[in-house]
Amino acid sequence: MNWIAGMTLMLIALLLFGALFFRRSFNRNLDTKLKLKRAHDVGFALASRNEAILLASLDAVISIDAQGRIVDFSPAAERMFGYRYAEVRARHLNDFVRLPELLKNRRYYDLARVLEKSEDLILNRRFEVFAKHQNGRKFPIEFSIFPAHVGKLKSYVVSVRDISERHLAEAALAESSERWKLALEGAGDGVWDWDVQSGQVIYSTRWLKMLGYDQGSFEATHSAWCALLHPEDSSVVLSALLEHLVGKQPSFSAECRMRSHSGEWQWIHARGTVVQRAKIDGKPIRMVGTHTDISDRKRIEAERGDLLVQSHQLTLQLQQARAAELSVGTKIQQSLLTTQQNRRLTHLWLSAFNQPSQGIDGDFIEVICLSEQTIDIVAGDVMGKGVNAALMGAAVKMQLSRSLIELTTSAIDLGRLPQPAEVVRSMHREVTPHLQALEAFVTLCYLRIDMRTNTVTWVGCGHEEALLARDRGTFVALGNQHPPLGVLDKIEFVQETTAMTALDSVFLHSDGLPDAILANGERLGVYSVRTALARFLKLHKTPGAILSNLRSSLLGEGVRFTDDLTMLLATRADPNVAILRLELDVHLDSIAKVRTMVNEDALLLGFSVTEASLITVAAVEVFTNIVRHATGLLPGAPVEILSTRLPNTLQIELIYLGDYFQPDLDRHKPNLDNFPEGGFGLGIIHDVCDDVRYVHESGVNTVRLSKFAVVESPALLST
Amino acid sequence: MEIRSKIEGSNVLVIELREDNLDASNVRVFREVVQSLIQSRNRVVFDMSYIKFVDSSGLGALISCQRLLNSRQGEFRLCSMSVTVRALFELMRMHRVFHIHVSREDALNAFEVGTHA
Repeated sequence: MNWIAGMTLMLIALLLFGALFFRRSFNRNLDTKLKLKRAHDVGFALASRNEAILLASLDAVISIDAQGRIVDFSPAAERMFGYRYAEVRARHLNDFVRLPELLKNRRYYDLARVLEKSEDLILNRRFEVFAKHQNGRKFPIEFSIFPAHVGKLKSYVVSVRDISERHLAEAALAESSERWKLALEGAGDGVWDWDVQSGQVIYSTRWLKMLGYDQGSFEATHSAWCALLHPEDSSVVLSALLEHLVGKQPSFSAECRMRSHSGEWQWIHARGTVVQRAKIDGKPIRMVGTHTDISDRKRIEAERGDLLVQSHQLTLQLQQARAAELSVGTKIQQSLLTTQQNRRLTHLWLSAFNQPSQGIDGDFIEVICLSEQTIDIVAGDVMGKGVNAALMGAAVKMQLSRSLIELTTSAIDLGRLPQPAEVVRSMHREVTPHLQALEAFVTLCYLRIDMRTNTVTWVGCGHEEALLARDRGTFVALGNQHPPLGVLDKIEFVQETTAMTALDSVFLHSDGLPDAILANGERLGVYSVRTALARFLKLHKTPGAILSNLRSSLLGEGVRFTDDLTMLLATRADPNVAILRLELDVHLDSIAKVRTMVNEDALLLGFSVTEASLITVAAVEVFTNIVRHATGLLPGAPVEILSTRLPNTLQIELIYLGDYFQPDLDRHKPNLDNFPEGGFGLGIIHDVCDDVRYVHESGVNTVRLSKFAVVESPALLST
Repeated sequence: MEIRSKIEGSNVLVIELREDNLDASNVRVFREVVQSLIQSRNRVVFDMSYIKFVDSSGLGALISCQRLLNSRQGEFRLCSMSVTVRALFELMRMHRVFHIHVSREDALNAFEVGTHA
């Protein structure tokens, strides 16, 4: 039994060993199996994923071997081609896909041969070709072939995409493009179709013809188009084009000059739109557009521009002509129609101011010296403004002179002067019919100042009342006796007379003065005029200073004039003092008047020629300083110069409205050793004159020069 | 303004202002014309026969000419000055600054002998 037990034990041991071995072996096998399973699982997962990708992919995936035989056919390929895998397995790809022209041209008749001979021609490139469906239908595809070699075994994966829809869309686009190309061509526009990526452009026949080219005679590229652009236009055009290409502008539009085949520049309106952009990055793929010949339009625009320029020039010329006419008219009026201060009027000082509302006006003033002692002053205001009124004013003035001459001539025998009422009657008789025919009238104020009888006689015809200022303060209104001339047919003219002694003044003005509108919108009015006049009559002795101050104080900033403005102030001088008075324009040309007046008066007082000359230089220096350096001058206001022959003294006064001025004598003394070119003026004035005064009163500056005479002058005794 | 000029004597430029005045009213034109006339000259005579009146502006213009010629060792001479103008020159002591001759001939001769009147 022991051997049975021994055998049993051995058997058990064997069994145990075997079991252990088996277990090990089993375990080893199990490892292998697990590994295999894992590998299988991984492979399966990969395959599943690949299959899922292939299933999900819209693109067909076909695997081929080196001979081009199909070894795999994805579900998408099955759908695309209408074949089951089993039906196409081991068949050549050539049977289903037409080879690209590129390959055909190289006489590679089948894919296998291409793949064998020249992989690089076909690999990793994209081809558009036609494929054949199981039902016989041809459809466009885009395919690429990628190498998928395993060791030495060559195989390839072919990715195929059905592009039927894109083709349809493009065909539709092409069709619509063709349609609008035709439409545009019909409308006369040239059409261009630009493949932006390649730079190739299709230019329509009309496009080419527009620039003088034939089909084939113009390089069909975008750069050739650019080369035609005018150098001055190219940057603008190309930047406009770029802005559209990058999407900044919805379309491209530019007018430019382009060189035609004959070499001439032609105006073109180029327009265009990108019709196709890349789906991924939006880059422009295709752009179509037109050329419109706008040469005619540009020519017309240029002509119209020329016409506009011409029209503008004509308008300017007309304005200049009118301005020149007004200027001439104004000059004539001021030089001929407005009487200048007469040197002989030593006993009556006159100052007048005229400001036409339209450059030239119907106001007029006439001063007639009937004798040294008898002065007639006639002020008139013709209804209306401008040249017409001025012409009528001139006609009335001419009639005044004519009437006066006729009456004076016929009155000579009577030994008397024609009376103001007679003159006005004569004027009325002559001008009223004409005025009535023109439906116009003239207001008139006729004054006669008689310094022998110390009277003023007047006839007023609807004019603003003249004011007689007695003793520089009390006013007497010289009222109208009659309506304006031209209103009534028959009038019995009368005149009135009142006393006017030395230092009395008469103030005449047109209705433009009281009618002036102040800054606050109120009318200036006669009362304000009289108040200001009374004040300045007391302050200043010369009519120029009084009128200037009157203007300055009443008619400052913001005052508007609706009518012509005329003012005249006539002041009787003191007959006991020998005074010459002149009004000077503030201009260096007036120097000649200063020279003549001062030199003559100095000689008259008994100064030697040399002395008189030096006094004259001093007066000229004062006047020149005013012209060059005075500030705060009133536009149009004169400088008055008075030369007074006092006992043993010649007094020269220069009077003007302006800022206070007192020269710094020390500062103006030149150092003669340095050959100074200026600064002598004040030196001369002070070296020549015995006394120099600078007086400023109520805005009026007076520079008073005194030169003492060494000997008593016979001329002094005579005055 | 009438200004005459010609070369006389020993290459002397003689300038003559045919106006009765040289003052602020005409000095600007005078300055411009004369400055250009004497630009390349070293010997200049200004004949004042016609001039009856000179003021400080006229004086300044003549001093300017004098300076210009002095600056390049040239000479500027005045001649035929009227009594009244001479009075102003003397008043301003300008007769010490300028070479003043009684006649044009005298002025031209002064260049010949290199002496002043």
